[in-house]
Amino acid sequence: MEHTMFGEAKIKAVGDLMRDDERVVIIGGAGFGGLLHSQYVKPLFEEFDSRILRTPIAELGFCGMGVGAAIAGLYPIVTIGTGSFAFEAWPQICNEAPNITYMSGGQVKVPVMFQALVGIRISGAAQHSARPQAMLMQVAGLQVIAPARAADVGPLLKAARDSERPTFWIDHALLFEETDLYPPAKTPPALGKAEIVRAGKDVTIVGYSIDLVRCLKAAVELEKEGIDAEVIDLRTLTPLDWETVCESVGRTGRLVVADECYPAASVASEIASIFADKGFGLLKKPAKRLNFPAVPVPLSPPLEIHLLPTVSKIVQAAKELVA
Amino acid sequence: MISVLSKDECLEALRKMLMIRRFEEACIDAAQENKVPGHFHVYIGQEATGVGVMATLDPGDYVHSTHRNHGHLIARGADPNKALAEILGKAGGYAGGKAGTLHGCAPDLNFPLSSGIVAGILPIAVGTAYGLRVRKLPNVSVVFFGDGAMEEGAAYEALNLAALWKLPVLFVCENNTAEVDRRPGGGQYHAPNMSIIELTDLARIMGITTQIVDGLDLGAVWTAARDARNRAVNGEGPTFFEIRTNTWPGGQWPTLVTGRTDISHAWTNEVPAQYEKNANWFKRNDPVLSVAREMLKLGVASHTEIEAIDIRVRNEIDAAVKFANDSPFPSLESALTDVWPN
Repeated sequence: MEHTMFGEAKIKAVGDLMRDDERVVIIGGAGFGGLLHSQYVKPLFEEFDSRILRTPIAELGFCGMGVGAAIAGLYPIVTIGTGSFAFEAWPQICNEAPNITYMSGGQVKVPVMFQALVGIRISGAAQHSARPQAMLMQVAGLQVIAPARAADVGPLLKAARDSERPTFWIDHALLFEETDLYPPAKTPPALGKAEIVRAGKDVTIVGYSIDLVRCLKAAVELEKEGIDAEVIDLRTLTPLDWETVCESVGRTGRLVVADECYPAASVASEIASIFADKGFGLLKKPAKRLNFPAVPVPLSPPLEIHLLPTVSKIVQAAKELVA
Repeated sequence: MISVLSKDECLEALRKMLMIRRFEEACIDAAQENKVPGHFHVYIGQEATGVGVMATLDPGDYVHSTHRNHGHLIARGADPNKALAEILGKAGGYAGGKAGTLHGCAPDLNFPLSSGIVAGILPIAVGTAYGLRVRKLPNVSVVFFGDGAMEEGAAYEALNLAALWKLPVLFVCENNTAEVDRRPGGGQYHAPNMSIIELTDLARIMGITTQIVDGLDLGAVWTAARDARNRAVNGEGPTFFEIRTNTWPGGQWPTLVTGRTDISHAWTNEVPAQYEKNANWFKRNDPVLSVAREMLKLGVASHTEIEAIDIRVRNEIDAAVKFANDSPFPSLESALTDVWPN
C-alpha cells in the first residue's frame, strides 16, 4: 500500500491540473501548506511561475479578481491562506461568486476555486483558527469540498474543475502530513458522494477533513475494545450525501459526528438533523455531536486541545452508545 | 464637443440616449402602476456617460455595472424588451426574472453581471481584465460605479491591484452629486463622504491615469474613453474617470417631477411654467437636451431628424412595455434551476 502524504497529493493534483489545462492559474500569495511545508510547494511554484499571481494582502480584492477571471474564461485557484482570512473576502465568496450564475438565468459560469487552510491548527489562537465551512454551507450556489484522504484529492480537484461551479476547497492546517490509514476506494470519488472508509456494524462515526482522520484513529482504538465502528468520510459538504449516512445508521442505529465547527448550525448538527426527518426512527440511541464548544479559540495548547473533538472523545462517545 | 464624432455616430448616440430616457420613463410609469418589484435606480441625467463610453468599445470588451445599470445595458445594445421584462420580474427577462433591476445583465454582449453592492463589482472587473491579459486578448474591462462605491474598501483594493499589474481597466466613477455638495464629508444623501478632496485623488496617488470629465459633454466622454481604451490595450494600464453629472431633480419618488422629456425643448428653449422651479435642468443640465442642442447648433441634424429619432425610439419602448407586460411571470419550477451551471 502506497502511503502518500495528503499535502503531497494536493500539490501533485494541482500540478497535474495545470499541466493538463492552461486556463488554470493560481491567484494569491499563500501556498497550499503552512510555512513548514514550503519545501513541498516550491517546485510547483517554480514550474508554473508565470501562472501564479502573487498578490498583496488583499483578500477581498483578489478573491473578486478570481471571480472576474473565471467569468473571463480562466479556472482560477484562489489561495486565501489561513481560513480566517476568508472573512476578509466574505462579500466576494458569499455574495458575488455564488449568485452570478443564478442572477444570469444560468448563462454566466463562474468556475473559481477558493481554498484555505482552515481549522484548529494548534496555537493559532482566536483569529487564525476559523472553520468557515459550516457558514459556507449556508451559501446557495457555492460548492464546499473538504477531503481527508490523499487518494481523493486529485479526482475531486478535477471533478470540481469540470463542474464549473464556484467552489470552496477546505484544507486543514494539520492534514498536510497525514497519510491514509485505509486503502483508497475502488471507485473514484464523486462530488456529493460520501465514502464508507471502514465498514462496521456497531456504530456509525461521521467525519470529514481532519476530523475524519480522528474518526479513523478512534475506530482502531474501538476495534481493540471489540467495537466495530463504521466510519464515513463526507468528502463534500455541499452537496451533502445524506443517503449514505442514513443507510449506515439504518444498520448501526448509532451515530457519532466529529466536527471542529462550533455546535450551532454546524456540519454535525446538519448530519444529526437527518434523523429528525428523513431518517426518523433509525437511531436507537441519541446522536452524539462532538464540536468545538462555542468559545473563541484559546492560545494555550492544553486549553485548545481540551476543547477539540479528539480521538479519545470520539472513542468515549462511541463506547457510551454501544454500552 | 460632439464635433469629434461623425454625423452617423452623433445620430446613433442621440438615439441611444433617448432610448435610455424613454426606457427609464417607462420604468417610472411601471412603478407608479405598482408593477416593479423592489426599489430601483434610474439613469436619467447620466445618459451621455454610458453612451459615450460604450461607443468606444469592442464586442469583446467586458462591461460591468452596479445597481444603476439600466442605462449601461441599453447603451451596450441590450434588447429593451428583455431588459424591461427582467425589471418587472418576468419570464421574458434576460435572467428569466431572477435578477431584476439590481442585477441587470446581457451575457451575450459581454455584460455578465451588475452587482448590487456598491463597490463589489470593482474587484470582479479587475479579474476580467486579468483574464483578458492571460488570454492575450486585445480587449479591456469597463466598470461603471457611483461615487458611493469609493466609500467601500473593495474599491481601494481593486484600484491597487489594477495599478500594480497595469491591467486594462477603465474605472468609470459616475458622480451624480456634483452640484449638490462638493464639500468633503458633505453628509448629504449620495454626497461623497470622503476625506479626499477629489474622487480622483486616491487613484492618482497609485499612479493610475485620472481624468475628470463633464458628463454633459458627450464628445469629451467619448474622447476620454477612446484614449483610455487605447492606453489600456497598449499595456499602459488602467484609467480612472470621475464623470460629473448633475443630479436629476425629478427623482422625488415616485413622481416624475420634471415630467416626460419633451425633445422639442431642445429647439424651443422654453421651460413650461410648472417646471420653472427646475429651470436649470431644462436649460443646462439635461444631457439629452444638451446633446440635441449641440447637434442643432453644429448643423449635424435638423429638429425634424431629431424628432424622427425620438418617435422611432418611443415606438420601440412602447413595444418593450407591451412585451414586458405581456410576458408571464416565471414558472414556479424555475425558482430551483440555474443555481449551478448546466
